[in-house]
Amino acid sequence: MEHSKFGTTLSNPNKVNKTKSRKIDKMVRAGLRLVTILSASIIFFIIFFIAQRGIKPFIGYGELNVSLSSFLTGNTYFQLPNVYGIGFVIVNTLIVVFFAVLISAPIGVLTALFISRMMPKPFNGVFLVIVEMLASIPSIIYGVFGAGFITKMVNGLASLLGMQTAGGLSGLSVVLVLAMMILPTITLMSVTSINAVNRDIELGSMALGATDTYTFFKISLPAAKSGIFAGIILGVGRALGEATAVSMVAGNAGTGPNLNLFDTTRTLTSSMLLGLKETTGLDYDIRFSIGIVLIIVILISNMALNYVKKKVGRKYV
Amino acid sequence: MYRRKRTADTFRKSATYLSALLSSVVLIAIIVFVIINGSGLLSIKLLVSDYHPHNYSLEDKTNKLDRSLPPFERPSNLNENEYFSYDYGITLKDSKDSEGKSVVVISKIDKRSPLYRMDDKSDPQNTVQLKTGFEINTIIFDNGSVTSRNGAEMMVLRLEEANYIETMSLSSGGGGIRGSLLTTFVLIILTLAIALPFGILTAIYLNEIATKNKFNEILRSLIDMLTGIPSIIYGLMGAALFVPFSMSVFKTQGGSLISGSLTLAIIVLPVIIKATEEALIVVPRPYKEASYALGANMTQTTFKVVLPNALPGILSATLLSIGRIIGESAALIYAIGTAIKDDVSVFDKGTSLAVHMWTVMAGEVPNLEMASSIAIILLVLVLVLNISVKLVSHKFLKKYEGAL
Amino acid sequence: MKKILGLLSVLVLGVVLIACKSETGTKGESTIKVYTRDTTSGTREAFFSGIDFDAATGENTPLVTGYVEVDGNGTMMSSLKNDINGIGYISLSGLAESGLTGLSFGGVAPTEANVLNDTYGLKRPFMYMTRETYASADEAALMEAFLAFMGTKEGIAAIQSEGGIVQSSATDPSWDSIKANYPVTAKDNSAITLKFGGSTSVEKVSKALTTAFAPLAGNVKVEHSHTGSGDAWKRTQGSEKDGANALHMGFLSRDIKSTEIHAANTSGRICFDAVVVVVNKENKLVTNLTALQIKGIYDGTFKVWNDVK
Repeated sequence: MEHSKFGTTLSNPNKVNKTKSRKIDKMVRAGLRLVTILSASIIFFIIFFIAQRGIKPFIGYGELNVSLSSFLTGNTYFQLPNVYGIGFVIVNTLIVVFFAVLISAPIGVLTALFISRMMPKPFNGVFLVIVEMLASIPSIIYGVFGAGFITKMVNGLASLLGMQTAGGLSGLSVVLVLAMMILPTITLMSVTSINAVNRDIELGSMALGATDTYTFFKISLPAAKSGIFAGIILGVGRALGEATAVSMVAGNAGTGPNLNLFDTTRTLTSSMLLGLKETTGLDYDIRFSIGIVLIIVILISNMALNYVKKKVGRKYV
Repeated sequence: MYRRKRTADTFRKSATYLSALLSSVVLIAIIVFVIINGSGLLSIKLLVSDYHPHNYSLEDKTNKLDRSLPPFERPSNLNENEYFSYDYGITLKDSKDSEGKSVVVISKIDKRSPLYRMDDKSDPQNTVQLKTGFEINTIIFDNGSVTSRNGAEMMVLRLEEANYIETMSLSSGGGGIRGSLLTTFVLIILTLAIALPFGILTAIYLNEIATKNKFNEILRSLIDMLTGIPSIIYGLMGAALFVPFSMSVFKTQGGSLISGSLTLAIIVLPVIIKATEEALIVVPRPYKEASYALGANMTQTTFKVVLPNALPGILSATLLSIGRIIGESAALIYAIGTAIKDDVSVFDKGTSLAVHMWTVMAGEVPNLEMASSIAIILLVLVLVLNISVKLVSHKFLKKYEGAL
Repeated sequence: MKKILGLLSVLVLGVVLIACKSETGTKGESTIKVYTRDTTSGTREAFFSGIDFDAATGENTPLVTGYVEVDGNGTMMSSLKNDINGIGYISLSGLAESGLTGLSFGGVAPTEANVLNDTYGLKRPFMYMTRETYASADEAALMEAFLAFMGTKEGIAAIQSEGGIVQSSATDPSWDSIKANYPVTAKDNSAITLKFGGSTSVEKVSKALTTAFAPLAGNVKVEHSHTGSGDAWKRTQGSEKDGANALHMGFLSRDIKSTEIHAANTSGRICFDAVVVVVNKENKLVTNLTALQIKGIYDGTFKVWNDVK
């Protein structure tokens, strides 16, 4: 009897191996489900194992326990033998991210507008490629660029203004590096949402006599508001979590908060990466605690920004 | 009123043009910076040599210096920091190595020099030929010693004075990235081997099999959440879970490429799932319907009809993952460590190219030139990967233009 | 469009000019930027006890606000190279290539001669610490050979090549004359890896020693992971001696503390070194500081360069 690829016999179509193929299907279905559940539970693994290591400094060291309240509110990073404080680090992180978004959001949105609406068809591809390349550059290269060029620039700027810096390692360098890194993220998301704006409302506005620039700014951008905001939220998430590039330009300040942008600073991520010497012990475990704090900060900022987005986003659809 | 609007418009227009130009300026600045600083060191030698230099301890067993022979001729084109020894026909110069340390380097050596070929103290059968570029660390004479710290001029002076050389300690090579290149390659293969099956199977489930119930919605959103996590958090988890895992199961000493690949696999998993899902969605329904009509079951349809047609999408998922892997630094610093190795073993530590850059920059003396050279390589790789992804998705879309 | 391009090129030019702006020397009114090593550093301990500021050896709180903490000898050098208002301290062995200006201490110049004749006040020893037990007999034998190597002509030359201050004399044995006592060095030892670590100030000297020793000991592999003097004892005989960071030999840039309890014959001195107070080359305002002045800078009594020049 002939067998075709599909398990039926061509000469006797009724003798289909139905039960066997159903069984195979059932097993495969169950197997795939298992794999998916495993993939989905990764996030629980992450939280569990980091929390397990991160709680240890507060309860597992006996006399050398770190006090949780002074950890979260303290203004000095480390004092012998077991005092850690990252209160000022959280403030520093929020400050640099705020300024980074302040710089890159307008530039990103305007670049997106340029690519999406202002540049004619063949050329806007070039700019889109430029932004996509910027988005895929590894963060360590931004770090090297920051350490080699941006710090020198900030150093020069500081001496121009009569201020001092520690060789350019400063909050301002961190802000500039972060701004460069989240610019492509914001731009790409904004391009997608501006492209999706209904052409009709733009045409309507221009038919009523508005110039194209006026239309873009007063009609298209507000219409794309929710997508642009989503891009900004993504950018904030990326800026909060960026580790290597920030560590190379931040400077490792010991106390704070560092409100002067020309002073060295310390962020949550740079604390986790700098001074990494040992793989056991209190100094290592505390980085996991800082990791937990980072996760919480990202979660809270995401929720807060999403709430704002909901409130603001519903006007034009 | 029109005048006011016009100035407002020009202002808006110029702000927009400026912003767009700024993005290009940033990209050009980064590329130019990296090329200026890195092209000096970039060479085939960089790619194939070891990072750690080879150390020699040599002697002259036959004590071949024959002072009755005429002295060597001094080369005519000596630079200011080069010093020539008439007795030994060797030119030494002061130089700096890749870590900025002052060293004494052989810049020229005459073939007939008694030092041209010396006996290897670590292997009595072996002789070593001294070449240009070798760094001389110390020379022990019968009447004292001289070190690189004394400088090339002093070293040549002592060579002329001394009666014979007891031991010469030299180093050669080093500063290469062969080990890190290999490590990156191994990491890519291991990571894809772990992540591709998981990712593809998950995508198949979510796309083909899952019904629209609450449970599956939750699964989906849990996987979506993975994309927003910063990579250093993945690194922490790698250090907390995969490093002890690798230590207990594979008996490694601390981090290893295994723990690194497991961590990277989790990072690229959402990328693979998403891209594969998109590829699966585009496979036209008529394909599936025809297969069922012919009596195939779900398994056969999925694996023999749908999946092969989604291969281009899986290919672009692979390319995107490779891009993510070679760019990842923070996670690997925690999940493996920062020890640069020349011999690559899956059970041992190692650095990917990105971590190698971090190590040379975060070390004692930041080596901007070497970091920039590696940056050039990384940028080229990223560019090639980006172009490949675009080509693949372009061909992919074209394929289904008719069938949809 | 042209207007925009013009504006942009002026901007870029301005940025480039700012970046390439040459420093014109430290000004007297500038605030002194204080750099220190982290608390596990032996150099830090030697420095602060040498200037009578013991309160700051283990704690950063007595220091003036705005101090910058660096975690290695080389990092200190590269940070100060970029900061014309900075002041810090490094190991004498690194002074020549640091590109920084070393200040005289209480009128005595920081030179090897002054360390040898004991007139320079910030002298300190480079010590080593090894393990009590090793994983294999070969490793134990190799470490014994290494200890002996440190006293040979070749070893001393290696130490001196990196600025370690040690008396060499004509009676030092050559390695060839004593290697018969260490037959393990005649074997092929490339399967064994010896791990060295500890002080970053001793890193260069220790690397020179292992560079010279490895080919004479059957090409044994060596690994260096220097994280601070505090880890030398910890990773050879202390809490991490059997963990992932365990070392065969750790180096310290200070005397061994009484709390670092170790077995007999597992420690010793390699050479002498000194701590040098350094400033950026562009700083022409100071060439000599007393211990009191340095302490005043580090605790904030003297805030600007005019106070100490």
